[in-house]
Amino acid sequence: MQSEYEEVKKASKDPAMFQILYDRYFARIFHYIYRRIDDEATTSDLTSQTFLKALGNLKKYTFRGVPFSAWLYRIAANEVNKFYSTTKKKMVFSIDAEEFELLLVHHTDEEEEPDMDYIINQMRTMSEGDIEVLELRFFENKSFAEIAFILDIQEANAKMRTYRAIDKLKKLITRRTS
Amino acid sequence: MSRMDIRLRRQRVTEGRIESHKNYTYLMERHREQNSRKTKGFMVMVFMAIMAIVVSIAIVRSCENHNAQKTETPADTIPPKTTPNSPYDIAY
Repeated sequence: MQSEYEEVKKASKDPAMFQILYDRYFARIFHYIYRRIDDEATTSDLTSQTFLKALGNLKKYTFRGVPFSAWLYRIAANEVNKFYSTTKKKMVFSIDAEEFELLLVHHTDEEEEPDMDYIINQMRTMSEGDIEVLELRFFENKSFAEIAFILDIQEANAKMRTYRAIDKLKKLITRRTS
Repeated sequence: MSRMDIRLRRQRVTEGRIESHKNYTYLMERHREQNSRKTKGFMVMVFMAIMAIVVSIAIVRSCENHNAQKTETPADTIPPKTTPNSPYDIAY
């Protein structure tokens, strides 16, 4: 993390050095936004906008014990929220089927193959906050500290929300078998 | 109940497709344009601030001159004495 902070400091003095960070995180930010938008062209625009904002505010960046990527995710989340507030469209959360299946197999005790469509239907009853923390924890593999930074909440709160969301999801999954 | 539309995506976005969206040159161009716009905007604001100060000073000076003219002493405004052969002179 310290070496990355040095890279950020160099990039704030010389914008050409920002390319290292851009190349490193572009795909991850793209995936994150694509999951929220489900449209390639719009995702490309918003990803570009995220990095443009990051480049413009690089001098204001301060190290807060979380990786630089957490700051990018925070900007990306704000861009997605701004997109939905200006376009008034319904928020979307699209999950890659393969990714989701792997997740369910690793994190549930079910012996049968999970019924994905059923689980997705049940997830529609969960709140956006719950889905948000599940996404960051299991699809983006973020630590609780990073989740707290991205959502601008306390770390203890991030942990609590994540565990509650997992419990809810497990109950929804086991409801069918019972 | 969530306001979100949750969808299951059967087709993955490939790394090649993501790479096709990368364009660092375009990002740097937009960054330069943004900086140039900020600089121009800042210069316009500085110019307008200076103009506002100059106009304020001009208005204040104009008011001062106008007030100075109004408060001139009465002796300065007395008309000159009429000539000795004026028909209005009373002959004694």
